[in-house]
Amino acid sequence: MTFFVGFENIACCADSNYTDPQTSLNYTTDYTWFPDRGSCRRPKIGLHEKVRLFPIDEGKRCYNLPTIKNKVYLIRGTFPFDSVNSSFNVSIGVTQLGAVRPSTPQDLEIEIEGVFRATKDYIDFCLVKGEVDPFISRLELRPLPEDYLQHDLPASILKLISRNSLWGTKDEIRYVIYFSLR
Amino acid sequence: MITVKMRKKQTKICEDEEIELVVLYFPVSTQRISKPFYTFVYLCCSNLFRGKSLLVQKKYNP
Repeated sequence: MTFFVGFENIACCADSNYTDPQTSLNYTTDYTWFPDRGSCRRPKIGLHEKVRLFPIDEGKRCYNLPTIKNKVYLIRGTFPFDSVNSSFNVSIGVTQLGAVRPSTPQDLEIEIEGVFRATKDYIDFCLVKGEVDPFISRLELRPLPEDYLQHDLPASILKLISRNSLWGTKDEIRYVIYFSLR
Repeated sequence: MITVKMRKKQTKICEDEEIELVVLYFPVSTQRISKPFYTFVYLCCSNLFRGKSLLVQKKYNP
């Protein structure tokens, strides 16, 4: 489907590529970036998606994704939890985008999302060693309309603070009704 | 809760009751941002618009 041109949807540690029946989005495995299947885990609680765990002593591990310079993109990582003690940072290149930290014990997963204007022909989405080894289950990159970002912003990266739907559900807004918002 | 106030001179495009979705962002940078502000996009009458909030007076602390 031409609408999805430029979308990168990565299902970490997925056994094979697949199409999400609800959204018709194609998801690819992340073995191109990290071929080691030994670092794959299945969350203990609830969720069916696998998790890519990065057992590192320090530093970070990055997913290098293709972009077109000066184009605007949305990027979103999904992080399921096994423990409320989880805490590590996520960055776009060297710019910290947010902390992966459950706010309540009931949080099964959180999403870290940002919008940026590409300054190169690639973007590094990085997981930084923190209190725990970093992990991720899903990564999504989507081009946005050019006018989504103002040109006079003092930063090329914006962190999502909230998405408030005044009707319907979050999923309906993202994928079915308003494609332009991704 | 975050309240977004639009700049006074910004044209009001739709009535409050017609707004369907508000997405709120905050700039992040390795450099100090001298005048941080929220920027947002919103939908009304199925059209996408965007705006910029007034200056954020307090440091954002997630």
